[in-house]
Amino acid sequence: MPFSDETKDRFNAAMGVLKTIVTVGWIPAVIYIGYRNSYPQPSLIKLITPLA
Amino acid sequence: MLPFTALLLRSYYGAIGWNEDNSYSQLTRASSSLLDFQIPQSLILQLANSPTPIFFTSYALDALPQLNGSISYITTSEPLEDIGPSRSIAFRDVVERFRVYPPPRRPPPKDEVWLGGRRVEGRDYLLYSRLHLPSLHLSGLATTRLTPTLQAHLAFLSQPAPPSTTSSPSGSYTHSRVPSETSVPSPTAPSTPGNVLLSLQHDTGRYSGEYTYSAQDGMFGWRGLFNFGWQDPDFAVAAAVLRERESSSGSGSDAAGDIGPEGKRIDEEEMMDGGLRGRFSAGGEVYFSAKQRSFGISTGLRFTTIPPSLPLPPGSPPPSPPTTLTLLYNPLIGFLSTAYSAQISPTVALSSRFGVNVYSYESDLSIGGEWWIGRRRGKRNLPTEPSEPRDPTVASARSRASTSGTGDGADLRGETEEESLRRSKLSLLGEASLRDKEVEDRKVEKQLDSPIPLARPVGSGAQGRAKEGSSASASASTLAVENERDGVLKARLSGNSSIALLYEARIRNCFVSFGVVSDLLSRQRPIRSIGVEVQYFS
Repeated sequence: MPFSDETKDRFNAAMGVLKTIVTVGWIPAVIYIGYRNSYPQPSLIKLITPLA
Repeated sequence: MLPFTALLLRSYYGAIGWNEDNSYSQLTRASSSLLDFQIPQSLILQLANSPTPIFFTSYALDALPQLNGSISYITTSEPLEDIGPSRSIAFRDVVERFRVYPPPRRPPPKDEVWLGGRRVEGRDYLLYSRLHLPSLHLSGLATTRLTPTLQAHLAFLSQPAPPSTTSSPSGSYTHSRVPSETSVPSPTAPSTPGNVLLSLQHDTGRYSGEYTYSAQDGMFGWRGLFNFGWQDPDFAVAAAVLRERESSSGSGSDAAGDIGPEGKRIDEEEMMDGGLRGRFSAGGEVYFSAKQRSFGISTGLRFTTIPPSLPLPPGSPPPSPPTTLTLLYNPLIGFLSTAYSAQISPTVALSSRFGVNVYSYESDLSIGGEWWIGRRRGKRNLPTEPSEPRDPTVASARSRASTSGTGDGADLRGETEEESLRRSKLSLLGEASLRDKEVEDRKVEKQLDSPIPLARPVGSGAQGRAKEGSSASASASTLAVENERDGVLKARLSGNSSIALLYEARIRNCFVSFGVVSDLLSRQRPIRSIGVEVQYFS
């Protein structure tokens, strides 16, 4: 085994944190990127609610 | 009806000039659209909105068996003008239907935008997120174009692990968490762990390859498709334009006009009276998983006709009806499937598929078809003609050139510097960039590709310039709009004597789809499933 158990544990812990960050922050990231690149910039409410 | 995701992806591929049909996974698309259409399972409502041309939201609600819904947010790098209110979207783009695609092109690179000595046009991307409620499943997709012919996809599915009373070492939100072996008192079903899918698509027009990796199974996959007799249409167009310029500057005759806007056609050598003019494609896929020690392979062959290029040059035989024949063979399990699909009239397309297992001799026959009905009522915003996007460009560039030479700070239409520079650069070039030509050609093709193909008078085929062709097709598009159908009825009869009917139509600015699956031979339950789906784009 090239990796020790401690390295594997640290790697798994880091992957868990990364997965949590991606899961929680994916939708806000998509909304923020769409908000920033739109010309003219709409209000945030318009982006989130369906009936604009 | 197409799910909103598929509609957006197709529109995105069209906007960036990517061939959406040039992949082995789309080999049997023509027959699948007629024989494998999905019946809505229950009452489904979907509301989609586009606050800006690059951002889309969608809310869906599924009533039965349990009330659940989903919210999705999508953003793209290119504005998708095709997606608009449901009263103005072309109905044929929203439904899965039979169509033959023109030969694929080599995807053109994105137009260069230079600012201060650096390229700032950025990369094409699409970001998609969908959250299912109340189960809190999150699915996401990120796709970006690394080089003109290489595209990368990353898709993931994340599920919150069910709460368990026994202590477990892993965290609460993980992807590949296997439910612990010790019994959990609450009767929760073991959740399937999340998954991450990586995919790399390489498309050069002639050859298309796709390399995939799935983290849950540790499965590597490769799909390839090869188009026989492929010629680069852009190269042929450039050669034809060059020939035309030489001939017009020389003798002024329009002998080169016979070639048409697409240069040398593939079928120019043989002008047969009968038979089908088309192209062959062959492909295969291989899957291999080390974790599960499984292996899969399949191969396929397809023949499809080439859509006619209007206006028809004089003396050419009438265009062949759109037809697609496919042959699939899976050597491992010995499954051979052949399908034949054809558009037999402007409003009717039929398809039949016969599958047989060469080891067990089990066979299955399916017959299906679609019928476009329902004449359009009321007014409709016509799609913008292909020549329009160029006029505002020229007008704004002229006014900008009169005020400032470099174009910095001249926000005449509220555009950014990059946009204004890009437009001025395009107009100063005097001709459309390859990318704009791609988009324009795609619009022209879309109008040509209506379920009601139009026969142009042969005499107008003398001038082969692109502009002439676009204005002619624009007038043809108005004809197509008047004749466009707003409803389609699909039917399928399968080997196990089950019949499925699906009616999709645009009713009062909503897309409604109503389907029923019925088992003809069963007495207890003649109707197996029935469903309604309503989509509204605002």
